[in-house]
Parts: sequence; structure tokens; C-alpha cells
Amino acid sequence: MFRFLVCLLGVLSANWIGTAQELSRQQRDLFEIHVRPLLVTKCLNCHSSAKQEGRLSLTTREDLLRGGESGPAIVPGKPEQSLLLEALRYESLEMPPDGQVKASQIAGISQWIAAGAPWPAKTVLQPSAATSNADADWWCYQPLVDPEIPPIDSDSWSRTELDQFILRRLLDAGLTPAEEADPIMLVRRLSFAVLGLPPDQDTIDAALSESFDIDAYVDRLLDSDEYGRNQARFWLDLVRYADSDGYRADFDRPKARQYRDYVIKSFNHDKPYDRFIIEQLAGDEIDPGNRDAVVATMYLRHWIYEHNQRDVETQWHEILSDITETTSDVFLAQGLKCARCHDHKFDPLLQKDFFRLKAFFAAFQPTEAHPVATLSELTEYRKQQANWEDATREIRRRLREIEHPVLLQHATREGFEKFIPKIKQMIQRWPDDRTPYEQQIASLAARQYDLPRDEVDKWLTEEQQQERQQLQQQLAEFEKLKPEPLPTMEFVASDIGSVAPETFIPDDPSQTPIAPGFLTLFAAEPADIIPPPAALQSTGRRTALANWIASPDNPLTARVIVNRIWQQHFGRGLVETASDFGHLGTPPSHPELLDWLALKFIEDGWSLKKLHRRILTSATYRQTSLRSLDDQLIRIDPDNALLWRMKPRRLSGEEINDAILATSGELPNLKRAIYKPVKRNTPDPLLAAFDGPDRIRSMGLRHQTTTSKQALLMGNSDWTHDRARAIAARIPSQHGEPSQWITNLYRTLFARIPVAAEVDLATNFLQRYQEQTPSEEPPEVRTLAEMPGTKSNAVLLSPENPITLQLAAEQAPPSGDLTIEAVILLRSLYPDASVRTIVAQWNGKKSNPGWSLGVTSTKSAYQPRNFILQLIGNQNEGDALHYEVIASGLRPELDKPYYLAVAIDLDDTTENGITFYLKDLSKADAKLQTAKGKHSVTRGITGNSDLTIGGRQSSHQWDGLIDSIRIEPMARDLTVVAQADSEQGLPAYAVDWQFEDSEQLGKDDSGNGHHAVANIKLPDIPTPADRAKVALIHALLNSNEFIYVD
Amino acid sequence: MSTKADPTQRSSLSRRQRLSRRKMLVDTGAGFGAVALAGMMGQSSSQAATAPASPLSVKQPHQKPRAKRVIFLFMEGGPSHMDTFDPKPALQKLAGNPLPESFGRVITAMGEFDSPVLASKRQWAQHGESGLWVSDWLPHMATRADDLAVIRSCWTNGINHSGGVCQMNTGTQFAGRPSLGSWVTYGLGTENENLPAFVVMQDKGKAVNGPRNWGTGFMPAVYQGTDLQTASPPLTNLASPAYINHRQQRTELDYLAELNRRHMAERADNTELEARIRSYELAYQMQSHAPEAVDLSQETSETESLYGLDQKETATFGRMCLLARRMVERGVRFVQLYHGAGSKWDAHSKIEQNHTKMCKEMDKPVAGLLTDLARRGLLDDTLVVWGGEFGRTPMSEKGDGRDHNPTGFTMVTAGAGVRGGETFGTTDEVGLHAVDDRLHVHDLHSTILYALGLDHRELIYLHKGRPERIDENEGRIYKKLFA
Repeated sequence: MFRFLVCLLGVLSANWIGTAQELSRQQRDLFEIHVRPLLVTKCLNCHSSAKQEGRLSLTTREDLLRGGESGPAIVPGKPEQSLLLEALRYESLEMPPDGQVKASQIAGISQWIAAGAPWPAKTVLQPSAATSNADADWWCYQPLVDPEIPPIDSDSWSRTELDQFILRRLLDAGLTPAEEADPIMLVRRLSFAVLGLPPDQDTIDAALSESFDIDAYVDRLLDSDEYGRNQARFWLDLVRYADSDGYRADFDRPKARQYRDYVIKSFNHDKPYDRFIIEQLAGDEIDPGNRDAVVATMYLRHWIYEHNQRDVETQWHEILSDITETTSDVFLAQGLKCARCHDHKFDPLLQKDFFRLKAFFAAFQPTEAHPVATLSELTEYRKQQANWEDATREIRRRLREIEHPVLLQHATREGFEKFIPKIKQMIQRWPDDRTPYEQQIASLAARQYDLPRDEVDKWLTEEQQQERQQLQQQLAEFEKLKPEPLPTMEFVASDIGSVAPETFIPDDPSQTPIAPGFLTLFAAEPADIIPPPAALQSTGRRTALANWIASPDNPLTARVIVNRIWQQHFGRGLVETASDFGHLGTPPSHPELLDWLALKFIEDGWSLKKLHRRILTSATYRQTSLRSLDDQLIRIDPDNALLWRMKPRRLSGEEINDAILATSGELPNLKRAIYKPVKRNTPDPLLAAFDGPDRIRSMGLRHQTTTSKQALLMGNSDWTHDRARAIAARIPSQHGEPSQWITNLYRTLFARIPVAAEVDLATNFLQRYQEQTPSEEPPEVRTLAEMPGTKSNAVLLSPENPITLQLAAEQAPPSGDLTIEAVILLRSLYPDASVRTIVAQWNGKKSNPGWSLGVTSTKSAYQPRNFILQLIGNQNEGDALHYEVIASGLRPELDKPYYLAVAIDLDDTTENGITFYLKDLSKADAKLQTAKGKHSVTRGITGNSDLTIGGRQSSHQWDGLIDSIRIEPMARDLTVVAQADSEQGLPAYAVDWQFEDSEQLGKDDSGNGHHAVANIKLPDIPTPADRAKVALIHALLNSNEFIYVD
Repeated sequence: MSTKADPTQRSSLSRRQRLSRRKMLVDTGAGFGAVALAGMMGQSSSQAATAPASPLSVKQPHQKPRAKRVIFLFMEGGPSHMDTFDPKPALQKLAGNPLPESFGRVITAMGEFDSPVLASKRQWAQHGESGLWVSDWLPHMATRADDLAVIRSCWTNGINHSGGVCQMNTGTQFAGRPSLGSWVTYGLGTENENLPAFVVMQDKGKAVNGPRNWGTGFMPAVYQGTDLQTASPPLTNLASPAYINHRQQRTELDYLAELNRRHMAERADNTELEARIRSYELAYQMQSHAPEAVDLSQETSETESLYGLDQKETATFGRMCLLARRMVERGVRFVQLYHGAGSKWDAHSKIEQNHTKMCKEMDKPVAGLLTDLARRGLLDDTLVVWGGEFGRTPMSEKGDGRDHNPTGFTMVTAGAGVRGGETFGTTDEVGLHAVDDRLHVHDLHSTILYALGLDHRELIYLHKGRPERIDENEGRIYKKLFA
């Protein structure tokens, strides 16, 4: 940088001689020797009219006297009071920031101030306008070079050409590679590397055999859908994906997950990376009818957003800047953030470059109703839409004139009034009259309020109301002109139209528009933008950028992604600073290998799977991690930059979560961590503790910290203890010798067989722990409770209460016409659609006949708390089994005693076939409610299932009280019974359970001897031995061996 | 606690070396991280095999420190400076009228303009030997007037709460940068690893932006603030599930340590493994130390009433202030207390009611804290900072409230050798804009670091090619604050 500035001074010198007329020779010399060169070369890049850091300009004497935020820069005659000098001396401000100037230069300035700061008349200093190409020969800007594969004599180690690059460097350094890791170690390493999950038991078995083919295993892994779920995590870190806005309210983004799923799918389908880039930046332009391509543009939506930011324009520019920076970080590994405010101090990136890139997004429009349609569909649609718009413009204009002011006045949520007049005007303007920029700002502002359109009439005068009505009628007449609406998507990106707003450098007084362009060092002229078809209503700018990034000629793109994947597998990139290839990053350790991988990657059609495979099947990757650091290695390459062994890796938070769930058998019921919603202000505790990023800025490599917070979480949280219990339940306990159990445990958790000493250690632990564990007494089981309302005893049932009551199938009365009565009290519903069963003769399988009486739960399609009958039988003789639900619509409330009953007349398939009854027993004057239901099952409901009370087998259980159950083998009209003058005579119960006596809980009072068998199953009280086993598992889950991969 | 070598970087290079440091950054392939780490550890990178010092171990400051620790009392929502520490008689004169034309057309954060000036209903008096002006809203803090160094000329960019709170904590309105407490922890480590180095407490609500306010942004999480509950258990996951007793836990931890030692035998040069073994022991220590640290039963009733624990209004914040003292006594480096968490100071309307209540809640506890720190000899090397994310406008909002004022507001400091009893900087005649000795949030941060002996220009963290500082390279130390 310095070199070119020197040249530049030579050029400038021709200009300034003539201007210094009114000063004495001595004064002029002071200025020209000490002041001008210093200001021009060191200060004006940041402090000129084009750009006034700290509101300070240093181009004229007046500028210096006026100063900036910190006060005047000079006090003529008083060097010691002059801030400029203070800054140059690094006493307060440190200027220039990239290194202090020489003492002689400072002395010169001091002399000049002391002399009264003479300045040639009318002289306005200009910053150096040139661009620097001096540093453009930095490695990352050079074209990819197809390197020669390093030849190696008698090489028995390399498995692929990749290895030769590594081996050559090792040998040149006097080193040799490490031995190959054993297959078991490799299997665990590979499984986590590709899937983020531990290997399954079959794989471990296979890996123990001689014939295990590791390359084929890598292929299998890459074919698994779990690959995408693992790979997506790295990408989501890069693009700062989240399911919430960030900022104070941190509102949800319910649609964002479509992007996450798109990323997973793209990796699983091995979507070519160039296509992956283009879809994310410009899917809406290049493939408007493709849902996936449109979802991909959610890449442009992951910025943090403040829902009530009244400074709309600033927020908008923050959004655009954020997209620009992220794009530059993610795809190009160019830290552009510096260039946002000034030319990059170390890299040949100009401030202008930031705005040139930003200009590609100038027309960006976040949209919540983007049409997904092919170009021809869109063309047709736009044409019709335009017709309708043309035909109705005047009507709509007038309507808006009436409605809009009033609506704005009554706008809800954040409202309209708080905006500054400039923004208000943009909002008020008829959309057709807004510039594209105004359109963007107005629509961003409009996200803050809702217009209560339905209520508008009440704020209008009668006259207005009438006119509005007429206008609406007129408008309706044109309805036929309107095109069929197209399917749309929310939370995606588009352009504001075919014309982009102009991009400026803030504080640039000339306000010269910046055209979209690539990094100046690649191409100084603006980018070539090909306007897309008009129906897209888009600028094509993002497509141009995407095509440039995703080009094989771009020296950055392929290198950047190849390096990221390398980093993923080796813990460190060939370029260590994976998101910064610039001068403050590190140059590649193996530049030829990087280029070779990048070129192969492009040659392979930008296939990430092939890239993974190329790396994972190399001898380099297969090295053991167990080689120790000896004196030679310490001397030559202590950091393992040359890869003389594999670097062990700590699992990510996601992997820890998933590995534990996989081990406990709770996947896939509990989803993998990638599916946890990312709430920016309330991060997941486990993921956050293990260095999960905040997803506010792009993250190319997570930190890796070890904290006591992690230890507390893993050691003490209920979650890990519960998982340990689930694992214990999964690994069958053998009685006696625990060694087999311990071996199984090691296989499950560590994917290996323990050595004898480890078995001993674990055995000792079990014993010691057991000794320290007090035995726990089972709680006393209460079987009966008083039923409110009847004051009699009732059996106390709950999913947790271990009582089962059943009558064996062979003893049960035959099922035909039935009247079933019960007195019940229900305490809770299931959170899902399970049924709270009162009594049933059915095992719950639709392939078995039976019947069941119960109450529906929360998610039931029949409404919750609905008293229902389920019948499973034949509709006609010889038919297949039919399952039906007859819902009564009678809905007992929770925690209230009820009498309920159903009378089933199997033959009667009319409305009168089934009659339900319900009576609230908590109220003395409650009426008996009835309901009728139709059924179609007429026979065959008797099966071989037991008659069960308060549940069917061990599921769909009752929670609450059951006071009595009576079954009569006929369909009785209970309204008549209730009137106590039954013509059919006294009930003849087949079963009459009253649950009065805890000693004879299932006693049948009908006289038929249908005594139900009561089983009181004591809860599983963990024995000290059980506790010890869980503790052992818990310890292993916390161990370094579990958390680290060799 | 430990962290991988790479992210833990700190410059302790002297100013003279800085030019060559720049050169080194640009020219060598080693990267700044490696260089800085080696410097920090006092070892060459070839000796990296020995166990790393914990990233939280005590580090020497750049200069002799005035303060060893900071207690930051964050009045969230923005207290009115014109009604507390910055009297403006002109308000009474202008009350009901728009601002003088010289102010131009001022649009407030809430989008109001041409709002009339709202008079202050406060009674003002001079307090202490110094004669510091304090309003009648703060009778207890007034008794500590000679401790209070009042900076009346602060300004910030954040016009709303999220941005303002974010900026007061991290230097910028936009999320993603480390908080002041994280920078301090990064720069100085902690004297007691049995407690978190950086502790945050909130009163009844939740602070705007949540944990981001004490997060580390691009720095490793090891430096982040820990949200301490003011009731036991003070930390999440501090205790095992109830069915596991102390002996069982110890037995399991011993077994775990043995497993990890065996595992490490073959991996002797992997220092992360060692660090992880240590983290379990530290966690175990924390389990006993943290409950002790928050156990107020050890305090006398005289102390409790000093902090206002015996009064309903002051009990909550009093408890937090007392806990803050107990934390700093035990070596916690940075304590941040949120009063009015969730923008409760945000008096857009009915400022009389709002501030009367808010001031009452915190006035006695803050005064009690200062008194208690002083009598225990802790105030000399503890910097106490009091203030919000911004101040409030002289103009009324909704007739009886005040809007956000980022362009001029007061922050109060005490302890650590600040010039107690004095005021610094000024705002204009109505308190709208800071005028003399304007202190941006960056300057405030730089000054706080200075008090701790840290040079904000040398406390650098390299991130994505940028040598990052708390002040985004713009802060100036306000040395006048110190005696």
C-alpha cells in the first residue's frame, strides 16, 4: 500500500505548487513538507468530504479548526492543545490506526501548528482516489492452478492422490504419517463425521470382521438421509439460520424451517454446490416455478429484525449490509465488514467494493406472498393482472383516498403515527407513485402495523360510506378480469421490480451512484447485468452475482467450500481461517492440495458427496489420532499442520444430543437436534453450553470451550440422568456377573469392547455405588377413594397408579345387545388423541373384535371430552371386521362425578341403535342427558379379549375414579328406568362391580360370580443395583471417551 | 475451565512493539492467535503439550489498576437525568412551551416533535461536603454524595431500548459483539474459579435482549456472564437430582475421573482432555461455593436493613445489591445488576409515578451497597457504575412523560479512586444534548477498562481478519474522572 501512495504523491505534486501563493516561502514549506503529505497519505482516506469518520474532515484549514466529534483538530499556535497532535502521538485517539507515523513527521506537524497552521489559500486537499492493486497478488486472488501430483518413491502409504500431497510435505519435513486407525476407531470417526451419530451395532460387528470394506461403508454413510441432517448444521451456522427475529421481542419465524429442510434435502440429494449457491441468491429469478429454488432464497431472510424500529431506513440499510457481509463471508471468505466504513487496512478491498457488492442486493424485497409459477404462467398472470389494474386504477385510487388515511389513523400494533414525516409520506403515497426505494421502505415500515380494513366504515362519514360502497360494487364488476391467483410462498426473497434503487456510499457528498460490481481487484468495471424477462419483475442483479460466485473461474468459491469441508473433517482447514482468506487470515498450509481439491470438486460437478468421499477414503484421514507428540514432532510441527496424525475432535452440542438419544433408543421419536427451533434470545441450553453460536452473524468455525457450566449441565441435569435410565432399560440386565452387561454397555456407548481392567473398574464402581445407595421403600398404593356426589367408594385409577382390573375373556358374559352403566370422575385427558377408557372388551387392535367405552382426549378428531363407544365387528355376516366410533356428543367435565351409560341395540342400525346417557351427579337437580347414535356393526363384537376396567390392556387408561360398572345383556331404555316404572322389569345385571371393598376390589354383586381380578402392580422401585447401573451409564455419558472422537 | 488455544488471544504487547505487531499480523503465517497465546502463557508454542492455564486464570492488567472489579447497576429503560443528577432550572421557565428555536426541530425517539418542555417537579439540594446536586428522588444516594462522580455528558446512538441496551453492554446497537463484562473477563480472568467470573442478576423482569446482553458475541463462551438467580439454587443445574446423595455423586465423579485418566493415558498431549477433567472438579466446587455465596443467613440484620431488605419496596433490589457485595468479596470480577429489567424505567407517561417508584426501589439499596463496600474497604478498588441505556428528554411525551434521550444523559460512578462529589461534562440548558466533555458509550467503556488497568487499545481479539476492541477503535479514556 505504501508503495503506491508514494507514486501518487509524485502525481499530486504537479498540482499544488501553483496554489500556495499567499504564504511566505517558509510557511508554504511547512505546509507542503509536513502537512499535505501526511494528511493526504495518512488521514484523508477516512477524513475527507467523501467520508468523515468521527464527523471530522481534514481537507481545509477550516475543517481542522472546526474539528469533529471530539473537538477542533488544531488550535493554531498551540500544538499542545491540538487534538491532531495528540492523536498522532497516540496519546488519546490513535491516528492513523494502522501504525503510528514517524517522530519526525509529528515534530513537523507540531512546528506547523506552532507557526499558526498556515494553509495555502483555496487549497482543498483531495484523498488519494486510486485503487490499490499492489496486494492483489495475494494467494487467494490467483486463479486455481492444476498442480502436479507430487511424485513419491516407493509409496506404500497413499491410498489416493490427495495423500501424495500430504506425504510429500511430511517427508520433506523429515516426518512420516501415523499408522492407520483400527477399524473400530475408524467406524466411529466416520459415522460421526458423516452422520453426526454413533455407529450402529451391526456396523460394529461388521467392523470387527476381516472383510469389512471401509470405502463401501463411507458410501453407505453418504447415502443415508442422516448425512444431510448432520451436514446442514455447518451450513446453518454459516448463514446464521434461526427461527426467530432476535432483538427484544424475538418473534417466531414459522416459515424459516422450510429453508432448514431445503438445506438438508439439498445435501442429501447432493445438489451441485454451484446450483446450491445460485438457488439461494437468486432462485426466484432463475427458476421461478420451482418451489425448492424459491425456498432457497430464504437464505436472504436470516437477518435479525427489530419489529418496532422506527428508524426504518437505517434498519433497511443494516439488513442489506448484513446480507452483503454474510454473502461475502460465506461464499468468498472475504471479510468485507471493514470495507463497510473504510478501505480494508490489510486487504485489497475497497470501501467501494462493499457498496458494489451491496448494489447487487439494492432491489432486494423480502416478500410474504411470492408467486411460485413458471415463466409462462407468470407472463400470463401478469398480463391479466395488468389488464385488471388498468381497468380499475381510478376506482382503486379513489377507494384508497377514502380508506387509507382513516386506516392509517387507526393502524394497530405499532401504529402509523410514530414514523417521521418522511416515512409517513412514503407510506401515504399511492404505490404506483413510489420510487422503488420508497416502495422498499414503505413496505418495511408496513410490517409494523395492521390496517383494520373490516372496521373502516365506522370511521367514515355517511357520504364516504356510500361512495365506498359504490366503488366496491364497481370494482367487483371487474372481478372477472382478475387472473386466477397463483400459489404463493411466505418468507422468501424477490426484487422490488425491474428497476433497482441506486446505491450510495453514505457520507459521500457527491452521492455518486455505485453500480453493482465484483471486487475491484478482479474487475474494475461494473458487472454485466442481463435483465430477466419482464414478467419476473426483477432486476437480474442477484443472478449476475450468483453466476459470478458460482463460476469455476472464481478463484475463491471452490477453494472456500473445499476448505470448509476439509476443516470439518480435520478440525482445521488447509486455510486455518476458513471465513477469512485475506491478509489477516493464514495462507494455506498445502496450497497445491487446496487447488487440486478445488479443481477436482469443480470437475466432479461441484459434488459435495464426492468431495467428502475423496477426503474420507484417504490414508491421511485414516491415520490414528493416538500417535504421541515426540521430540522430533515438537521440534518440527507441534501443531500438526502437516497432518502427521488425526486430530481428535469433541462432539458438537448437536452430536452430543443426538448420540445420547440414539444410544437410548429415543431417536427417531425425539427428533435430532437440527430440528430444535433456534430462538435467538433463548438458545437451547445444551447447544449453547457446547459453543453453539448465537446465529446473529455468520460462523465458520465454532469455538471450542470447556467450561464448568458444561460439566454442571451434563453432570446434574435431569435430562442426562433420564437418558441414562432409558439406556439402562434398553440394555438387558443379566443377573449375577455384570461383566457381560458392562461389555454391552461399552459397545453401545463407545463402539468397542472393554478390556478386563475396565470391566473390573466398572464392576467395582457398581459395587461401591450400590453400597452407598439406600434402599427405597415402595410407596403405599391406595386403591379406593370416596366418590364425591355418591359418597361411596370408588376405585382410584390413573396411568401411574398400578392397579389393573380384569375379567378373563373366557369368563366374560357374551357381548351382544348391552347396557353398560358407570359412575365415574375423570381427572385429566391425554395430551394426544388416546381414549380414557372406562370399560372395554377389546385389545385395541382393529384386527380384533370388541367394544370399548370411554372419553376422548385433547387431540381427538371427535373433540376432546366426548363420551364415545367403539365397536369392532362385522356389518354383515361374513364381512371383514369393521371399526367404528360412535360419538355421543355428551361431554363430561373434568373433576366432576357423572353417571353415564350406553344402551346398544346391535340389530337396530337406525338413529335409535345406540343411546347414550349422561348425568352430572354434583348437582341435585341435574337432568339426565341423552344422545342417539347410529352404528353399522351388527354382529361379531365378542372376541377373545379380556374385559378390562379403566383401560384396554395397559394403554388408553382412565385417570380418576370409577364408582361402579354394571353391564346388562340387553338394550334397555334407561329413561324409563329413570322414571322408575320400567315395563321391562328390574334390571338383570350380568356384571355389577361396585368397588366398595379394598380386600375384594373386583367383587361382582350380580350373583353371577364375574369377579374381576385386581392386580396391584407395585411401581418399579429402583434397587440400589439399578441405581448403580444408571450411575455407571451416566458416568460413561459424561466421559471424555463419549464426548471425543479419536 | 479451558479453551482451545486458538480463540484465546490477548495482546500484552507494549505500545513500542505495536508497529511490528501489525507487521507480524500481516506477514507471518503463524496468525495472531498463536503468537498472542504463546505470549500469554509465557511459553513457546512448541511447549504446547503442557496443560494450558485456564482462560479464566488471573491475568495481569496493562497498567496498575485502580479497580479490581466492577459492579454495574443498570437502570433499564433509561432514568431521567434532569430529575436525578442534572438539574435544569430552565425547564421550569420553558415548561409548556416548545424548545427554543436554537434547538431546531427535534424529533424524539417515539416520533413526537414540537412537544412542549416538561417541568421537573423535583426539589434539589446540595449534598455532602462537595455540595453535589441530587434531587429529592434519591435521598439515600445523596448521603453518599461525596462518593459519586457524576458524568452528565454521556451520549449513545441507540434510540430505542433494544439498541440502547445492546450498545451500553457491547458498544454497538447491533447484536453480535462481546459485552463489557466479557471483555473484562477476557482481559483479567477471575480470582475465584469456584464462582462464575461475570455474574448478572435481574430483578423482577427479564432484561431487553435477554442473555445477549452478557454474551460473548464472537468470543468464546467461557467469558460470558452467568445469570444468577437471587434465590437458591443460584445457578441452573447446580445440584444433582434429589435421589442422588452427596456420597453417590462423589463416587460417580471419582469413577468418571478414573475413566478419563485412563482415556487420557494414550492421549497425553491432548490438553483439552485434561481441561475437561478439571471442569468437573470445578463444577463440583461450584456446587458448594455458589449456594454459600448467595446464603444471606450469614448477614446481620443491621446489614440487611442497610440494604433495605426489611422494606417491601426495596427488598428485591436490596437483596441483589447485597449479593453483589458478597460476589465481589469472593473474587467475582464483574457484577451486573439490572434494576427495572424489561424497560421498567421507561417513563413515556406518568413519569412522576414511574420514577418515584423506581427511584424508591433502588435508592436505598444502592446507598447501602456503597456504605457497605466502603466500611469493608472494598470501595477503594471496586468501580460502581450507575445508569441506564440512555436518559430522557426535557420535552414531555403524552403530557406527563419523557421520551428516550440518547443525545445527553448522566452516568454515575463511585469507588476505585473516581473524583467523588464532582460532576463532569455538561448538557445544554435543558438537558437535551451533551455539550462539554461529551462521552460516548465507547469512551465510557474505555474508561471503565482503564480503571481496571486495561488499555482498551491493547485489549484485542482477532476475529475474521479484524483486530476487534470493545470500543470499535473509537473510544477515548476520560482520565479526568480519576483523582
